[in-house]
Amino acid sequence: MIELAQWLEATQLGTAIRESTWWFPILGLLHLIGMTVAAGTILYMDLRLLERGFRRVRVDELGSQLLPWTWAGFFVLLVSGILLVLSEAVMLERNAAFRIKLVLLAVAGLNVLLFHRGVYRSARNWDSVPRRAKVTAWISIVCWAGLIAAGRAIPFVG
Amino acid sequence: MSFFPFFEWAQNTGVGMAIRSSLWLLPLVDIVHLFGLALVFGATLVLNLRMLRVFLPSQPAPEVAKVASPWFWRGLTISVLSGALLFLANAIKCYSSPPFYLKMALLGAGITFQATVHRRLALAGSEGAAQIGAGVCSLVLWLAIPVVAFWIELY
Repeated sequence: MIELAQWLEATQLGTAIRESTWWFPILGLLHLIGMTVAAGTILYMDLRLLERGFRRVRVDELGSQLLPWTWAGFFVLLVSGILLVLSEAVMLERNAAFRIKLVLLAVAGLNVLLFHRGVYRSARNWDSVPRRAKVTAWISIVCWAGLIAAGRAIPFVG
Repeated sequence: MSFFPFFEWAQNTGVGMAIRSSLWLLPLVDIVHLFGLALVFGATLVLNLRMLRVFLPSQPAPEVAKVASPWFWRGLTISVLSGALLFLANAIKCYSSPPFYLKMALLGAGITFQATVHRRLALAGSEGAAQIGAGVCSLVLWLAIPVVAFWIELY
């Protein structure tokens, strides 16, 4: 893994970002904004699944309105995140907080995948929210809180 | 009249010193501050997008406000309290940082606007240019705050 990290860091893009005064902070800011959009909006989907908000709106209608924004935020997170990794790959490779982030990303991704392929497909017909969907909502909340915390801990963990 | 004594006092409080000298307290407070920010910005995004009529047009704006507003104020409380702790830990750096004053001014303006004009227009139930204007102003204000906060870090 360390060789991969060294290779990534040595790419033109990675080097350019690391050596620039502005690129690294700007990517950090974009990463932060992407986070507030993605995490800030997914909360309302999770609240709906836990039947604590927007109860008069059908789940699939809320999803179709809300999730595009969440995805847009996630896209910004992903692109800025990849560029940040490129510029600091060696440090990140041995950073425990970053590894926790990767694990949480995998869990969150699996959570979303299983939800969208499984119980969410029948959302139009729900009388009440199935228990499986509520579990999805809790996993989502825990993952996002963990991702934010682990992300912020990266510079402190070294 | 110099305000420096206040900043000096703030920096030397027990709380300020404890946070500054601890390895884990500062990141913890910072993380809580970020949680607050996510709540504030998520809530303001949802409500303002509704006022701009690009989100959940089937629901009246007051209904969206009923869900989003409590989270906005909860998030703001969390951010302000954790922000106060961060200030105590770094007061002297804040004193000599122009973007810090800008952030405080934007925060004051944002809270005032949100609690008065924005609230009235969101709950009015009408769909006019005023709602759109208020939605744009609110989005710009609340987006500007983290941008300026980043600038504080870089200064």
